[in-house]
Amino acid sequence: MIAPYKWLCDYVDIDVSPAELEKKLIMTGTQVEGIREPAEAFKDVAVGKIISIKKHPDADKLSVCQVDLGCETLQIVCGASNIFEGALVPAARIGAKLPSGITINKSKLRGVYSYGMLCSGAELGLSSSDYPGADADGILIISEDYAPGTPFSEVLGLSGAVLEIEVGANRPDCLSVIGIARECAAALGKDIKLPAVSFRECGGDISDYVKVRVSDPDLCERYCARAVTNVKIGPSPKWLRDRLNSAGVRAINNIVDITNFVMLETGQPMHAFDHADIRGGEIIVRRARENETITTLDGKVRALTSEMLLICDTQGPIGIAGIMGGENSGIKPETKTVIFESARFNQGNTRRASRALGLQTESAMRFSKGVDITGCKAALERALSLVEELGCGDVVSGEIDIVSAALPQRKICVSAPDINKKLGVSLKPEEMASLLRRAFIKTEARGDTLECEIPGFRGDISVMEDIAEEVARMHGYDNIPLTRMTGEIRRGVVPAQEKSLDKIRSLLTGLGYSECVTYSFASASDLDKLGLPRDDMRRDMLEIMNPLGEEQKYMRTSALPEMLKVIAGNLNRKNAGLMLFETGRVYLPSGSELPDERQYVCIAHYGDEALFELKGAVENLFDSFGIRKAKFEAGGPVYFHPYRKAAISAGQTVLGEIGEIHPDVRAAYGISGRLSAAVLDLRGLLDCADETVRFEPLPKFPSVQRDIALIVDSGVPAGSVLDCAAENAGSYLESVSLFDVYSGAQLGGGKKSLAFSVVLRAKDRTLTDEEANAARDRIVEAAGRLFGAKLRE
Amino acid sequence: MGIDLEDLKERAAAEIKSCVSLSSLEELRVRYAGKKSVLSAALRGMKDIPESERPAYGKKVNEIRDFLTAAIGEKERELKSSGKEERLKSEAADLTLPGKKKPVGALHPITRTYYEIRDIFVSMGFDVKDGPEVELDKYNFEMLNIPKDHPARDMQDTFYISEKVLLRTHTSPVQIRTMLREKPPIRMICPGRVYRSDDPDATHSPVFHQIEGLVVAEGISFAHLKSTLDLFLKELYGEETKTKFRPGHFPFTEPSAEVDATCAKCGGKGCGVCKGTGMIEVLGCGMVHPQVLRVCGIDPQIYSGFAFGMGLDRVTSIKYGITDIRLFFENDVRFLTQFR
Repeated sequence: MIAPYKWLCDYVDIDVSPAELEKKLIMTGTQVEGIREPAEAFKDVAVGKIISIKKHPDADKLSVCQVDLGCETLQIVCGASNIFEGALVPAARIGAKLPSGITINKSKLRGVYSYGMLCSGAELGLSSSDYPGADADGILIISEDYAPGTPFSEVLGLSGAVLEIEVGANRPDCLSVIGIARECAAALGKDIKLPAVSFRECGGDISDYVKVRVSDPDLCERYCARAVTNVKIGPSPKWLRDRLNSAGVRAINNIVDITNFVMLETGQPMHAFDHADIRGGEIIVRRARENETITTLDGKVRALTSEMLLICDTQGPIGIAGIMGGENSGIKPETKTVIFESARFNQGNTRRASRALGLQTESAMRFSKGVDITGCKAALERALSLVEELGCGDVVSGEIDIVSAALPQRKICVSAPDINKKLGVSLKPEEMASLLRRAFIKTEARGDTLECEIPGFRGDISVMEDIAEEVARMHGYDNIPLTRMTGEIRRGVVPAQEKSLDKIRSLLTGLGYSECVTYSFASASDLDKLGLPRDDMRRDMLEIMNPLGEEQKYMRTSALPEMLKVIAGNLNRKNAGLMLFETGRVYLPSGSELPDERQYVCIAHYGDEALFELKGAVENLFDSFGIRKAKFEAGGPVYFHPYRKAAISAGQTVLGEIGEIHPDVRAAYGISGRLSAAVLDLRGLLDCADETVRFEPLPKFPSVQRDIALIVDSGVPAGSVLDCAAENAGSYLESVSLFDVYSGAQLGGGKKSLAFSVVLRAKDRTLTDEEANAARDRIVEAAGRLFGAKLRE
Repeated sequence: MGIDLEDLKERAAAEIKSCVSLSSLEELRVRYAGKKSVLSAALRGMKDIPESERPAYGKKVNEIRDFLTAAIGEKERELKSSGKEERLKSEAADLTLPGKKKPVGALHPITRTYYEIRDIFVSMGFDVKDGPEVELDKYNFEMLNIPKDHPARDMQDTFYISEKVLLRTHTSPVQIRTMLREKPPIRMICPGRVYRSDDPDATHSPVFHQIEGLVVAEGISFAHLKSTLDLFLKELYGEETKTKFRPGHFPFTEPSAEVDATCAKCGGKGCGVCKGTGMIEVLGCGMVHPQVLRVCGIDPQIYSGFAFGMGLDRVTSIKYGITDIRLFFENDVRFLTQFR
C-alpha cells in the first residue's frame, strides 16, 4: 500500500517528519517498508517558458530556443516542431537523469551550444494517463499555468514523501489512505478528520433506472448502488489527478477517477457502469454458468467457471464481481448515466476467482483480503459527494442496499486483569480504556471490565487477546517488562535419534568428511541416471502437485542423486579432497496418508583408493555404536560397480550399502574418476546399536597366537574365511585379524592366500601349545571342508 | 730399580686423554689398570725393592692406578656421551616443517548454528522435538488458525502433495503435535527443514531450515516471552546485544511481535547488512492464540503460552555475513571447510 505523506496530512495533523512518522508507525504495528520521494525522478526538470524560437543557422530541423526557467534563461536546441513561443514545457537542466534513462549534458549541435533539453512525455517516462497529451509526439506542452522554474514534479502532483506499507492479512482496513491515517493518528495520539460528505439529490428514483437482484447471496454479502445522471465525462481536476498519481494510480476520466479515488481513500472498491449498457434495466448478481465467457475491460476474453460471481444484466455478464468490469459496460466519453456499485463480495471466493483468472486488480486484492461490510454505503456517498464537487453529474434520489450477510456484532467485554496477566503488566482499567480509544475502539471501563465497541473496519478483533494486542501496541512493546520464567529446573531432552546424529556428525567430521545439505527433491531422470529398473521400489515417489520444475517434481527416495550432483559440482570447480556426508531423509510412500520419512547417512569419498577408506569409516561408525555383528556381503544396488559393492546387514536388520559408483552412473552425472559411497539407514543403525560401555578386567594370563595362511580360490570372500576361523577357533578365541592377502604366480592362477592371526586366551590359566595347535587345526580343517582351502607352507 | 712411575703416569694420562674410541680405551684399561698391567707387574715386583721403600712405593703405585682408573672412567663417560650426542644429532627433526595433518571435516554451517541455538534452549529446559516434513494440511494450517482462504495457503507459496497433504511451510506443526500429545507445562524447540514454493535466488530457497519454540504453562505472559528471547539472543550474539520487540502479525499468535537484535556485523553502528539501522530482524514470536490452544485440547482459561520461530539459514547468514543463501545448498567444499 502506498500512502503519500501529504495525502495523510488531509486527515491527520501530522507534526513529525516522514522519517519520524515511519518510526512511530513501526512501533505501533504498521510495517513501513520504506519511504520514497517520487519527485526525485524529476529532479532537475522544471517548467520552462519558451521566450523565443529561432531557426538553427546550420540545420533545417533544429530550432534554437531561449527558455525562461525562473532564475535563469537557458539556450536550448530542440528538434521538435510542436513548440511555440510562450509555451510552457518541461525543461531538463544539465546533469538531469530522466526516468527514460537519458542523462542531460551540455552539448553542441551543429555549432550551437545547448544547455539542456526540452522533453517529450516519452523522455520523461510518462503517458497520457500521467499527464494529458503526454503520449503525443513532440515536446510535452503543459496546459495549466505555472510560474517558470516550478519543479516539474509539481505539475504531476508528485510532491513530498510516499510511505510504502506492507499491510498484514489481519488489517485490510489499512489498504486505504484513511486506514493508514488512523494508524498515524493512533501512533501520534491525534484525532482524525474525515472528509465531510454532502450532496444534493436531483429527484427521480434509482428504480426508474435499474433494479438489482442478488441471486447468490452467499457470495454477495452486500450490494449498494446509486445512479448519477446528466454525466459529463471529462478529465478530473488537477488535485484529483495528483492524488491518484501520488498513489501510483493513473488518471482516466472524472467518473473512473472518482471510483479509484474512493477506493484508495476508504479501501472500498467501487465500480461504475454505463447505464445505457445495462440491458433490460436489471443487474443480476449470480454465479457464472459453465462455459460462460466475458470480455473484460482490458479487452481479454475470460473463460469462467460456475464458482465465479458475475454482475449480469438480463442478457449476460457485464462484469466479474469485485475483479474487473466488462468491456461492454465501461464508462465512455458519451456516457450519460452512471450506476455506481459499492459492494462486499465473499472474500475467499473473490480470491480464488482472481487467482484462477490471473487477474490481480486493486479491487480484487481488497475484496480478497476483506472489505468492511459496514462501510459500503459511506464509500458510495463519498463518491456522490465528489460527483457534486466535480460538477460532473446529478445524483438520482433513492438507493439500493441489499444486505445478505449478518452485520457483525460489534461489542465485546473483556477483563482488564486478564489482559494484565497476558501481557505481564499492571495497567489500570481506565488506562487501558484510554489506550484503546486511541486505537479507535470506543471503550468504557466498568470496574475490572472493559466494554469495547469494535468499529466495522476492525474485523480482526474478536477475542480478549486481540484487545490485549491493541493495549500492548498502544502502551508500547518497549514498556512491557522482561520477567524471567519460573518453574521446575531441568535440562531439556534431546531425543535419542538426534543424539545419534550428533555422534555420527562428530565422528565423520573427525574422520575428515564434511557435512552437506541438499534439497529433498528428485526427478524421474535422476533415477534413470542411477540405472534403476522400471519396477524398482524407489521409482514409487511422492509427487508434488505444483513443483518448481521437472527436476524438483518428486520427494526423493534415494540419497544418492543429490550427493552425486554435489560431487560433480565440486569437480567442475576443480575442488580436491572430496569427502562428504549428508544426514537427510528419504520419503517412502507408505500406504497411509503420510510417507515413511527414513533418516539416512550418505557418505561419499572420491578417489582411486577411497573404497576401503570409506569402509573403514563405516566400520568406525559401527564401532562407535557398538555394532559388532555387521556383515558386508557382496551384492547391492545396480548403481554400484558390479564387483565392488556390498550390502551391509546385522542379523535380520539392513544397515545399508556400500560400493564404488558404477562407471555408467558416474558418467551420467559427469563424474570422472572413481567415487565410493555408502548409504546407511539410521533406524537400522539404532536398532542394532548397543552403546553400553562394559568394563572387562585386564587379562592376567598371556595369550597365545597362531598365524595361519590359507590358499583359497580368489572368488572366495575373505570375510567368509575369517568368519569360519572365528567359528571354529573354540571358546578361548579373543580375536581373528587378517594381515595379508596375496595372489601371485607361485600360488597358481585363480588362487589367493589369506594370512591371519588367531589370538586365544583363557581367563584363568596360560593355554598350552597343544590347545592352540588344536584350534589351528580345527580352523584349517573347516576351511578346507568349506572352501577347499589349503594351508600355505 | 724397576720402572719410572712418574713417567708412566704422564704417558698413560696423555694416552687416555687423546683416546678417541671406546675400544682403544679398553686397551688402555688393560694396559694400565688391568691385572696384567704394568702397574700390577710393578706391585708384583716389589720384592726387588728395598724393604724400607716398599710402603711408599706401594702407595705410589696404588695412587697412580686409582688416578688412571678414574681418568679412564671419566674418558669412558665422555666418549659414551659424545657418541649419544652424535646419534641424537643424526636424528635431528626440523619442526618448522609442516605437520602431517589428517583431513578434518566440517559441520555444515546451518548445523553449527543449530547446535549453538539448541544448546542454549536445552540448558533452559526446552526439549527438542521432531516431526514429519511431509505434513497434514490440518497441522500445518488449519489448527494454527490459518483458515482455508488465508493468503498463506496459496498454491504459489506451498507445495502440495494432495488436497490434504503438503510439504510443511514451517515447523509449527511439530508444536501442534506436541500439544496434542503432551500436557502442560511444555517447553520445547523444533528444528527442521521447511518448504516454500520459491525459485532459488540470493535470498530465497524452496528448502530452508527453521527452529521454533513453544512454552505452555499457567500464567505465561508476554513479559516472559520478552525475557526469554532477550536472554537467548544475548547468549547467541553476545552479552552486549540489545533487542527490540515490534508489533507484528501471525495468525497463530496474539499479540504477536517481530524481534530485532543488534546487528552482529557492525555491533549496532549501522552497516550494509542492517541497512544502516544497527538492528536486524531475527525472530517472529507471540502469545499462542487461544484458538490454537483450544484445538489442541489445552484450556486457554487455565494455560497460556508463547511461541517463536526463526530461519536458521537467515541467522547463519547474518552471523557469518553470507549474502547468498544458495551457498548453503551448493556444498562447495571451499565453502564448507571454512566452518571447521
